[in-house]
Amino acid sequence: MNRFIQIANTISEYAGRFAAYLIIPLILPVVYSVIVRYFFNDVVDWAFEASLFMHGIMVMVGGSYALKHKAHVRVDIIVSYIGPKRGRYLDLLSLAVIALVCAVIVYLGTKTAWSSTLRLERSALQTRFDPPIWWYRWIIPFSGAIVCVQAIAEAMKIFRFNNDNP
Amino acid sequence: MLSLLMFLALFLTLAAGLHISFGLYAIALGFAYFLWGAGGMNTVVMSIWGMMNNFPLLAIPLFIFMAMILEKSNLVADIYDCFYKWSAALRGGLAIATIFVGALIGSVSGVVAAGVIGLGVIAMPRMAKYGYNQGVNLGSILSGGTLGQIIPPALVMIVYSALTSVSVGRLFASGAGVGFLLVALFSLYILTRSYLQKDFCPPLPADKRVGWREKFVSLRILILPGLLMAATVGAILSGAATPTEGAAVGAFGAVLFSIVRGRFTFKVLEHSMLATLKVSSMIAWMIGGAAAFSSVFAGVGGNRVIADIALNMPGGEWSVLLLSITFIFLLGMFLETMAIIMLVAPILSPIMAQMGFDPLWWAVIFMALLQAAYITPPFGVALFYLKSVTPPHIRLADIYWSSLPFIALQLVAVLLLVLFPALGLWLPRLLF
Repeated sequence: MNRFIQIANTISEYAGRFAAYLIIPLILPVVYSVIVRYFFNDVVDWAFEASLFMHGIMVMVGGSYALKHKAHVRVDIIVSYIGPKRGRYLDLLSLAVIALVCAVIVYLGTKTAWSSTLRLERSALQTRFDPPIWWYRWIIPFSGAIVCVQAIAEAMKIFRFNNDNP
Repeated sequence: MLSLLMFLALFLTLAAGLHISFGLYAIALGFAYFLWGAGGMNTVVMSIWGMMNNFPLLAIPLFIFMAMILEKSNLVADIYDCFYKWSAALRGGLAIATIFVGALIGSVSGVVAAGVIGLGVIAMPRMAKYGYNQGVNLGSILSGGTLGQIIPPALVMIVYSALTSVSVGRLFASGAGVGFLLVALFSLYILTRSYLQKDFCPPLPADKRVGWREKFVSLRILILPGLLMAATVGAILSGAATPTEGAAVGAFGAVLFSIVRGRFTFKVLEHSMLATLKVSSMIAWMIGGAAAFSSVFAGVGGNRVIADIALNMPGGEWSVLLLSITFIFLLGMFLETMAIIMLVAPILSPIMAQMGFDPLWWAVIFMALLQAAYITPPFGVALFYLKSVTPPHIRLADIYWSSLPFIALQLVAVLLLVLFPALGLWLPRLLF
């Protein structure tokens, strides 16, 4: 169990750090295209989609990092009423929902991504750049998978905590 | 019937304290499965895909990053210092300075935590030192620090326009109008009370005031933030740039600003990037969930049910408006502002348009109500931000009490907006 938690934490930390750095290639193409348009009166055709990809990867892949650092919003009125001990059962319930939802997202996302890969799908946005986007579809099942793993690890942390504090 | 069940499921999810975004996905998946079978569940993947390809949403991490970088550049302290010099002689001057600094910070940052925490650390001890009433001290920090969410750029507005069809630029412009209104109301309240009650906000002793020369010299600290503001909000409002472009230029400019001020380190950069990731991932996953929920909700005919209820309401559209305002205000006591937008905007905003109200006008009323949601006890987030930086002798109850007059003022602002729509709409009418 400890090993699983360790692995999940490592994945989320690395994925989070990777995703966090994408803010830089998200800022630069947009700034570059603004400069080119403003001062050189030209259009940078790849900037639009490149920044779109950076953003999508960043926020999806960051999902498990956000879960690990308890950044996903929830209402904690009930927990403050029933106390932390019973509140942990609600935590478990919530994590079970997350794991289940993400498992379904992985399944459905994989199906969509696979059929897109077979077609070698390209962007529907009709820009001159016209990049392939089938690989971008794989971000959904990948992100779902790491959130799912992190949710299971978080549940294990609660079990471990309960065992240590009977 | 099914739509009511969906609401019930949503209510249970919220009440049980499940993570809101995943609760929304779960409800959408469950109802889609029972209605349309396994194929229907693809709505969820399509909603996520839609979020991933929505260009205006790029502004969210960009504005958060900008705010995080500026926060670490001691911007609040520098600007407060300048306003402090100018307002020292005035009764209530420090509290009014707090409001103005909050507004100014808000115009380069769309994140509320930065304003409230920054002012709590910097303005609170000074107001306490010069014998300001504790209520106005805490209250001005709460109300001034949260102005960032109505003064452009504001995160909540970007999310709102992603879920409805209101344009970000117009919403920004109306928000600026409402921001001026709130600053005026808050300042008027502080001035009036401090002239009526002599010991409420005493003026600073004469030896703490500074000469005109020093006052004007202190203004130079405003030059760089002013430029930044012009490059982001100015560019967006004038139509020279889309909100996303303005946000990217602003984020880039904030880094330059931080380098110029000598406060840029690798640690600052990394911390800002990770903090940005956490918040923007949370928002993005929730937008996907809200989109999935509302498309299934529309699929079961929920929108029609709500519209029927609204159209048959005794008292017509005005009672619908009153009820909606009350509903959002009550939600504000318990829910995060982002959650309120995700849950309410996709369902309520089309109804408002259908009732014949101007969507932009309703949007800006919504935003003004969210302003109150940040500081309404018991669960307004700004109350806890402030508690986290105040000395231990200030109890949460003190903060609760201090928020009440300012919540009343915010409701006055909402009332004024309802009665005189021009208060919110003059700027977008001028610009667009």
